[in-house]
Amino acid sequence: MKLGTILVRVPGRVKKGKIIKVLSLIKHPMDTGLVKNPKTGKIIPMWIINKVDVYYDKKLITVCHYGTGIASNPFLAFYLKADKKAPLEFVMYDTHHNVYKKTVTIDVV
Amino acid sequence: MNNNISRRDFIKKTAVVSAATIIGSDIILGKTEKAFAKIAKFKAVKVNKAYVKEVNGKKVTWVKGTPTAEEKLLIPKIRLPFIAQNGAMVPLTMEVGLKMTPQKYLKTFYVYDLNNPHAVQGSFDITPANGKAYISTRIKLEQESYVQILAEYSDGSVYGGRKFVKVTVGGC
Repeated sequence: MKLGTILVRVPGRVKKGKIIKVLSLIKHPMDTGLVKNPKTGKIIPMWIINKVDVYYDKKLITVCHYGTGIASNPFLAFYLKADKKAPLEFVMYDTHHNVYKKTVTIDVV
Repeated sequence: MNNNISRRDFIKKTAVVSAATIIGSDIILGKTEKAFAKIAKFKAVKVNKAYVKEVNGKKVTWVKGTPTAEEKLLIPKIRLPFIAQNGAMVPLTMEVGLKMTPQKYLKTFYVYDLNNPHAVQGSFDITPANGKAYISTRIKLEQESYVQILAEYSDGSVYGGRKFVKVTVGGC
């Protein structure tokens, strides 16, 4: 898996108004800036994802601010009220000014 | 010769043997306990037992003793392993029983670990569009500590809950 790829799992077909669970995972090292490289003896500089935005139907529904205490390859699970057929967009920012994006559509019957 | 051992004799002998073994094992155990104490002295861990008092200028209410039915809905429920085998990846789930309505809903979850040099592990803002106040992540822990979750509501009140975790292998 390439660095920065986001995996999202949502149920395939949803009845209108049902509350569904959304699971997500991103590949990222999340270096705290406190660990030394055992070979060179130098400190590995801090590189973390510090903000996650989740948009549903172009509205901001969830914002996560991460510190250094979040484990590598951050996992995030939350619930969502599926009202209509609309895209669910994940936008993640890290301290090296990279932006990772992923969109999935929620199929409401 | 009489090979049959009488019942009384048998009980006497077994009693003596068992007593001897218990005393003997006690002596050995005493030695090992001393050895363990030495190891414990070598890597003594200090666990910060303080409660987080303030967040964003708002006072945190810690319910001590038995909570009332109303408070039970507001105090965050924490799911953590009793003993975390890998400190680099400890699953953490936080939940609130209150129903999310536009009048009153859960605004933010804060995750605190006071034994970490960066005490704030993260914060999670959610809205009524989520339908349910629930977040699940994974965190890093170096040593045994109290993980504290603060739940901030839209009316400004903040409730706290915490749980103790033991960690076998640190992961920071």
